[in-house]
Order: sequence, then C-alpha cells, then structure tokens
Amino acid sequence: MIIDGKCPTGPLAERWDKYRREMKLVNPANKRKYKIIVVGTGLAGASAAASLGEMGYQVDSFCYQDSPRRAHSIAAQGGINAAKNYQNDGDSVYRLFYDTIKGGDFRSRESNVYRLAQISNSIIDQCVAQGVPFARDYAGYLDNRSFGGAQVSRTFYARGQTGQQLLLGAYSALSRQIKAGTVRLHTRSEMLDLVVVDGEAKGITVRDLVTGEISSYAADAVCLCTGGYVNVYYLSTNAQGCSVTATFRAYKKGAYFANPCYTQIHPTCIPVTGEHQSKLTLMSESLRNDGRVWVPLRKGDRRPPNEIVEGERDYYLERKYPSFGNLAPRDISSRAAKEVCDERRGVGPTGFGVYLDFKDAIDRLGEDTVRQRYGNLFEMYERITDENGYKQPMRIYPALHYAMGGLWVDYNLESNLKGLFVLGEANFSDHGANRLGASALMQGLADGYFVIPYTIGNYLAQIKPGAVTSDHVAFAESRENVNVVTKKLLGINGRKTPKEFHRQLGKIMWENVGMARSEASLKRALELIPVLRDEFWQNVRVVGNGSELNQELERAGRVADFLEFAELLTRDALHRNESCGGHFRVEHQMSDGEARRDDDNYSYVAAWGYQGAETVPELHKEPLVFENVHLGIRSYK
Amino acid sequence: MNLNLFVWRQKGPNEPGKLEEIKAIDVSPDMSFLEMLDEVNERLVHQGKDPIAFDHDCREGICGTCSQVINGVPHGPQEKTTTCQLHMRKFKDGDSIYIEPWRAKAFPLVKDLIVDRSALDRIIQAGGYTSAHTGGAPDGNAILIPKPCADRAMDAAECIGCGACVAACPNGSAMLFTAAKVSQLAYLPQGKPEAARRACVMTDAMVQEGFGNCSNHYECEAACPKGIKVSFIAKLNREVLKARCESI
Amino acid sequence: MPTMTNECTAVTTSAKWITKKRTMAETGVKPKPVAQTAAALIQVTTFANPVTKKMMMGGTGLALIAFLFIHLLGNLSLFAGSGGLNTYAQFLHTMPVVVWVFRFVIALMFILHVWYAIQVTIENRTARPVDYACRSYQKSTLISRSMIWTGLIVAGFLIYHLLHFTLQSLYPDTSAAVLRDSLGRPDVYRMVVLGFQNTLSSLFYLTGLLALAFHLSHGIHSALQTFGLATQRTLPIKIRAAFIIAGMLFFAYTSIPISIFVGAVK
Repeated sequence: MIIDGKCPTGPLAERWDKYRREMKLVNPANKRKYKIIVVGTGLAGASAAASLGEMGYQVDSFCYQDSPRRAHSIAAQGGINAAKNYQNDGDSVYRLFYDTIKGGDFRSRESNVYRLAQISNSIIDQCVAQGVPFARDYAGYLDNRSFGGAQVSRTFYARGQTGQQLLLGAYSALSRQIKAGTVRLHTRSEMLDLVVVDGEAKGITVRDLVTGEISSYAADAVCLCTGGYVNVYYLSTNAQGCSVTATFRAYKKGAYFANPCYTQIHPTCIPVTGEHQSKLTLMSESLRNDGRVWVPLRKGDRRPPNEIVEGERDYYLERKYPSFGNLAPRDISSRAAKEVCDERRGVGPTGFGVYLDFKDAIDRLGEDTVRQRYGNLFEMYERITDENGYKQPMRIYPALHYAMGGLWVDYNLESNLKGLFVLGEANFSDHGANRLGASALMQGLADGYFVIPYTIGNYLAQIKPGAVTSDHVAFAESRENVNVVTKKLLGINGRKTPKEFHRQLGKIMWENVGMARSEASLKRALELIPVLRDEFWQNVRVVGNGSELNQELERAGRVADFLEFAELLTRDALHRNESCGGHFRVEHQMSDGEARRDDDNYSYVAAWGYQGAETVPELHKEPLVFENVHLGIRSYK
Repeated sequence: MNLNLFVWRQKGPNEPGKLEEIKAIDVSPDMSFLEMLDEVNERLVHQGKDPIAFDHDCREGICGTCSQVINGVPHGPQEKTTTCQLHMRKFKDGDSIYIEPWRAKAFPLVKDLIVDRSALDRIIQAGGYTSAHTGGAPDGNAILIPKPCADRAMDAAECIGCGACVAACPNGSAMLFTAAKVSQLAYLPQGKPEAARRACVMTDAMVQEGFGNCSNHYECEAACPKGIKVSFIAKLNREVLKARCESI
Repeated sequence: MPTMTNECTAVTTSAKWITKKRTMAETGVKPKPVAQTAAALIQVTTFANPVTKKMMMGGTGLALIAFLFIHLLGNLSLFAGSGGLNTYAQFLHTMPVVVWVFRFVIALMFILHVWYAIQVTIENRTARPVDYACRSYQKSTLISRSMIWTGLIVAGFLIYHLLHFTLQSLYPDTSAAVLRDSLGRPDVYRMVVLGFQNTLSSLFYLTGLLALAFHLSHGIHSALQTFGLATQRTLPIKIRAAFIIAGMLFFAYTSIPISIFVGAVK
C-alpha cells in the first residue's frame, strides 16, 4: 500500500511556514482541557513535555529511569549542528539540509530535513537561554568545531559532554513545569502497552518498576520519545535500559515500523575484551579531527605500535578518501575498519581494532592543547583499557550506536495511528539511511521544542478533549494483556537467564545482520531467530515475582520484544536489495567497495504493518520524492 | 581472581537488611565492577536465588544512575570514576569488598543497593533553571560570555546528579550538588536575573528534603566522580549572602 | 597495583570486627528517637536557611577568635612580671561599663555559636539514620568530624576557667580578691602563678587549649569557606593558614601555664 507523508507542497524553503500558516490552533483557554502523555525524558521527551506543559496542556511524563535526567541522550558527546554560519565558512540552512540528505544517502524526506535545518538555529538560542554552557572563544562568542560528513564548522559543543548539557537544559525546563504543576512526572515507570480506541492512540499501560503495579493512563494524545533499538545487537553504545519495547508494542497495536534495517555503526568505540562485556563505550567522533587512523601494512603484524615505522603503516582512511580523510562519514569509516580487520591487519589482543593515533597532533599542537580538547575522552579510555592515549595510539573498533529507523511518522510526526506522535530517535524521519554526527541532538530538540508544539495542536484542535477516559474497556484489556505476558514469563521457570538469550540474539544479529549483510546471512538469521525465540518461551528463567522491583523480569520483557523485533529488522534488511548508508548489502557495492544504491527500485520508505505473531508483516511504501536535490553518488573521496 | 563480597541485601524499605557474604569467582581484571556483579547475578539466578538489585544504566560514567558505596567510599577506590567505570584491575585476588547503598535520610532505600534519589530532582524543581520560555530566545551570540565564565559554568555543570556527595558527606548534605547547579547558572548572564532567589530556594529545598548541613569536611569533593570542586560551595554561599544583603 | 588503603579491607581478617559490624548493620535502622524529636523541635522553632545557619556559626566563631586574640594580648602581660598583669587588670576595672558590654557581646556570640552548633549537629546526625557498616574517609579529618566534641570540651573548660579566674570561686584561698600586691592592688599575677603550679589545673588547661586548637584548625577555614571567601586556588592556603593560626594560639596560650609549671615564671 502507498502511504502519504502529508508534506506541504510548494517551494522547499516555505513549506514549514506554509504549514504553520494553515494549521489549526487550540484556544489558550482550552489547552488545559487536553491531556497529553509523553513517554521518555531524553532530549525529545523532556523538551516536548516541558514545551507542551508551558503551553498549558496537562502533561504526564513517564520514564523508566529514577530521574528524567538519566535518559541516554545524556551520553552524546560530540556536539549539535546548526546552520548559524558563525564561522563565515559558507554554511547555510540549505547546506545543512543538503549535507544531512546526502549523509543519509538520499533515503529521507526533503521536507522534514529542510525543516530540521531551519529550526537548528533556534535550538542553539533556546539552549543558550537555558544556561547551557556551550564552549566560547576568548571574545565571548560561541565556538564551533568540525565534524564528520561536513566541510564547514557548524558543530556547537560543551566539552565532550554536549548531550549531557543539552539534556540537563531540557530537564531543567521540565523541572520548572513540574514545579508549576503542568507536568506530572512518573519515574521508574515502563510503558508496556499502547491503548488504542477506535484506531486512535488514547493512552498507555505502564508497570511501576518498584511496586510492580500495572496501571493505565488515558490522554487525548500520546507522544513516544523512547529512543532507539540497537540493543537488539546486545552489545551497543546504548544504555542498559534502552529497548524497543515501547515502540514495538505500539507497532503491535497497528503503528507502522519504518526502515528498521537502518542502523548505524559508530567507528570510534573501545574494542571488546571478552564474554563478560555488557556494553561498548563510544568515544566522540570529534577525536577523528586530530587523530589519525591506521593499521600495519603487513598482515598479522603483532609488533607494538611504536615499533612500526611510518613506511609500514597504512593510514587507510587518508589513502582511500583524500578529501575527507579521517573525517569520512561513520558508515564508511566503520566498514573500512572492518575490512582491514578482515584482512587480518587488525590490532590489539583480539585483532578487532585499529589505531587512532594522536602523535602528530601532539607534535603539532602540544599535549596541553590535545588535553584541553579531548582530556575527558583520554581519561575515559585509560580507565577502561589501562592504556595512556597520549603515549601510545588508542585502539578503536566500530560498534552499534544509533537507529535511523523507527516508527513511521508523517510530516506532523504523527504515526498512521491517529493521536500517536513519535519524536526523536524513536521515529524514522530525518536521517535516512545514515545519520551524520551531531545531528541526533539537533533532531531530538527540534522535534520536542519546535515541531510538536505546533503539530500536536493541529491534531488536538480537531478532537474533543477527554473523549476517552481510562474507564474504557480497552484499558482493562490492555492491563490484562500485560498481566498475561508477565505471568507467562514468570511461569516458564526454565534454565537460561534472559541475559543469556539476549547475548545469543546479539551474536546472531552482529554476525548476520551487522556491518556487511548478504542475502545468505540474512536468510540464516531469519532461520535462527525464530528458533531462539521459541527456546526463550520454553526455557527462560525469570526469578522473583511480578509485584516487586524485579530487574530480571524487566530484562525478560525487553528481550522478548527484541526477539520478535530482530526478525522484523532482518526481514527489512533482506527486502531492501540495495546498499545505502548504514545498510550495506555485500551484493551491491562498487568496485572499490562503496555502497551501491538502487534508486529506481528502492527510493522509498519501507513501513511495516503488524499482521499477527505468525504472519509476515505487510509492507507499505512511502515513495521518496526529490525535487530539490540531485541523487548523486555519495562520494567522500 | 576470586573475591569475597559483602553485599547489603534488603527486600524493601520496611524489611530488615543485612550484609550477605557472596563469592565472586573467576573475575577478570578487564571487567567493570558492574560486569562483575552481572556475573554474580547470573550465577545467583541459576541457583534460583534473588539477584542483587542495583541501579545502573549508561555504563559509561555519565548518566549518574550507578550508586554503590564500595569499601566505604562512594563509587569505590578510583578517583573521579563512577562505579560503572571502575574496573576489577583495581582489586586483587582474595580481596573482601563491602558493597552498600547510598545512605541518607533523604534517600530512602528501595531494594538492596537501590535508593530513591528523587529528592535531588525536587531540589532542581525548586529553582535549578532559568525561566526561559520555549521560543523567543535572542540569538546565542547576543550576550557575549567571557570564556572564563563559560568555562567555570561548565566545570560546575559537569555534575551527573549521582548523589555520591550526599553518600560521602558525614552529614548527608547535598550542598555540593546544589552548589554545582547554583554556580553554573550564577556564572552565566542568562542565569543572573534569578540567581539570588535560586540560591535561597534551592538550599531551603535541600533542608526540607532531609539533607544535612554542610560543615566543610570536603568529603564530597573527594567522592565526586566528576571532580566538582568545593569552591562552588563557596560560590553558593556568596550567592546566598548576596541575596540576604539585597533583601535588607 | 594500586589497591585501597582503607580500614575495612585491613580489618576483615578480624572475624570479631566483622561480626560486630554485621550485628550492628542487621538491626537496620538505628533508632534515634530523642535526636529526631529534637530535630523536629528545632525545625519548628527556627526557620534559618542552611547557609544562613552556617554563617551564624562562622560569624560568631570568627568573633570569638577575635576575642581570643585580645584576651591573649592581655594574658601575655604576665611576662612583664606582676606589675604588667596587675596594671592591666586594674585598668580593666576602671571601666566597668565597657567590660560588661564586652562580656555581654562575647557571651551572646558564645551562646549563639553553641545553640547553632547543637542544632546543626542534631540535624546532621539525623540526616543519616542508618550508618555504613564499612566506612573509609578520604578528605575529612578526625578533627573536622569531632567539632562538636572539641567544642563541648572547650565549653567545659571555659566554665572551669571562669570559675577559676573570673569568679575565683574554685580556690578562694589563692584568689586575687584575697591576695594583694606590693601596691595594694588585687594580685592577679600571684593568683595565676599559684593556680598553674597545680599539676591537675595545668593539665586541665592544656587539654582545654588543645581541644580549642583542634576546633580552630577546622573552624577558621570552614568559616572563611562559609562566607564564600575561598576559591579553588586559595582554599588549600587557607586550610594551612588555619592550622598555623590555631597552632600559634595554642603555643601562645599554653606558654603561660607551661612557663609557670616549669618554674620559668615565679
């Protein structure tokens, strides 16, 4: 079925203005009659809840963490893009738009991305007003740095903790609304179901993670800001609690899931050390501004890095991509690392690693300058590996990092289910098949501060407030369904822990649906995943009970969803018979190993509709129309 | 290596608790402290026992969720390091390790090593923000901020809100936490209009939540995984003094 | 390999210690009903902001330190022989109003300092109802953690000191009211010398002054920090300076009983 993204028409630069001119408004006095549920308190969720609360809506904000400030947006290090052109280096809204579209390998919507680029400037202003301590130069002006995938310096940053500072800004705005009484906060509450009444999202069912109580909340609209799903690979840079549960259960209630196969692999993570590993730690991509990536020229060269002289090193990124060099986009750098490791030129105890060398930068700038720029990252590296990055090159390896795919939304950020809005990483909308560095923060805050306040009003203005209350039978049914699943998980009493299943699933995914996917590997995954899932439901062991704080039960529920979702992701990867961005099919590559897109057949958004547990999901297509950019070959040479 | 853990076990806030001796075997020095506990928990689950409940999330030292007092020191023996970033190479075979939750009246215990730190959120809710509306902010460069001010604000803003300062303070005081937020906003021109009021209401909120007073032991500074300095407490004190002087 | 230097690992070998700690910990909440009631009472009676409260402590403390210096100057006149101290004493008696106002102010400072000290201490103790079974301190000192005890010792000492030399009711036989110097003035000098020739009395003074020195070595920099007079750079200097000032005061004050006790001053 063909679906419509509801993008405004007309000149690209005027579409958002046109939309705002024509949208319907809710009278200020009526706003307090509407209830809105916001799930998640990351950049998108906190900024949305704060802004909607401030506008006068009654907002209920939910997070699984003990405080809204702990959402995983906090871990973003590098920065946030904006088209301010403060550096006078030729940046503009159009250029940011173009870089983002191109970076996404021409698999995102022009209208959405252009709006994002337009809004980017207001985000910086908003954050400065909130007291976000962005880096400043000696004259007191905002400072910028350059970042992967762009040739202008448009990235604003706060040391290596930009995500933290932006999130704390949004969290403080949220706190202000909580104090004002416009937002009710529910911490340690995990959303386990979306309540749909007559095809419209009207509430959620949550589990109180402390008492185990299952309860439902009704509202006039629901915003899901629940982040990405790359923990389906078990090892990723995501937080332990990040899961697909909220979005996947919305999918099971009828919301389309779009482009799940677009996952991003980040090139600069600390390599794995062993089976016990619970997560991978990312170091900001900004390191690539001054660090040089290399491996030994010779295969199986196990000498310590200091003994390998210049002539015996292969600075492969600089060699293959002379104009972007070490700043080549994430997918390209990651794949290049995998290639050299597959050639047995990898370094470190496992052979799965490449060097990121700061020697030249230290010689050029001095250790102090390097310390000033990246000090906290070097400290972090040393804490984890016990190696000093100033003295010997760091070892890095790619790791799963971000999900470009997510619930399908139209231009309004509204799902095909009316009243369900999806923001930030949880939706699929702005990054296409690959996200550029410093764009996730931009998108999360754009959605929360500057898009949803308008588009949700347009929806609410057309409905009667409080039409559905939690007395409706759909809520009782939803609670019952959740209880059934909980009881089932607790009753299996098998021999393997949820974590063991999760690790096993991760291995299947990394090996078969990872950086390089083939038809054969994907088909193998499609065989292995259902077997593992069946075993899970026969043999999982969840200790404790449902009416207490039970972290095993929490994990079991999330793993159960991952086991279903993994199949959807793989199915999407198999169906997309082309390479684009983060989705690399080995069958489709140029002679030099670059991704080869198939614009004639795959220039669309694949939105999957749930058809029941045992049925193949239905594929809906939203064609991508490019009126303003030429679909070039994404070259960073 | 093998370790003897003495872990605080308590089923709920109103149940009795005790230190339970649990063996951790085959611990790799490359494991993080939480990965060591993961393995211990996996074994407990296989034995049909209740795993140790502990708070954790990002596991990269920035979200501030992990909260364990390890051998009498919040976040353990390594300086400026959260529990999740502490690695087992800091310990040696045969060590006994005491693991306890944050202890403070304002942090009621939830289960085992998990405590309720929402009191910190309520301190922020009292005034830890600028009352900037969404939209309508002037250009980011409209007000220039001297680099030293921006840097000092950033130093304060690094706080991850884990509550180690409270756990470490002999008085169970949240002064360092409060001071970090007050200072961050007081150093920046955007935060100045509300600086006086903010300093007073946030410190009032701190006491109302049941935190103790600061008596300058500086234990908080030593425990802080982000190296927040007690000079920010001096800054907070100056802000309160200024507020008092202005109100006369 | 850098392992921790903490008491817990070191003492785990002592099984007795573990049992003791564990029984204590097993009881869970250490009930402190008296302290809690007192804290509640204080909450109702005072509305001070914690920082204001600290400033009251610090301010009164600094005023009392100023007094210590003035008092010391007077005391040191002892080294000028009987003429010096007795002249000073008589000089004070010529202006009773000034002396009484001064005494009143000092007493007020003292009472406020003690009042807030007790209040703050009770609040601080109740802020941690359950203690750690294992505790290792990084930066605080025994001195900083026992301010209330050194303070109470100083208060006890002060009472003794007032009874001894101001009210002169402890040893009426050797009080200045009885003794007269060659000029017929009350012989404060002889009273002091005779007083400190008593071993017990001298020891008591030494203990009191030692407690005072400990108290000040934390109190001085703590007060400065409380008034915001410290930065990252200057705080360590101030901590050292506080230690030196406290030490100087200790040696200056104890120089009197010691020099009398060893017979340098007769």
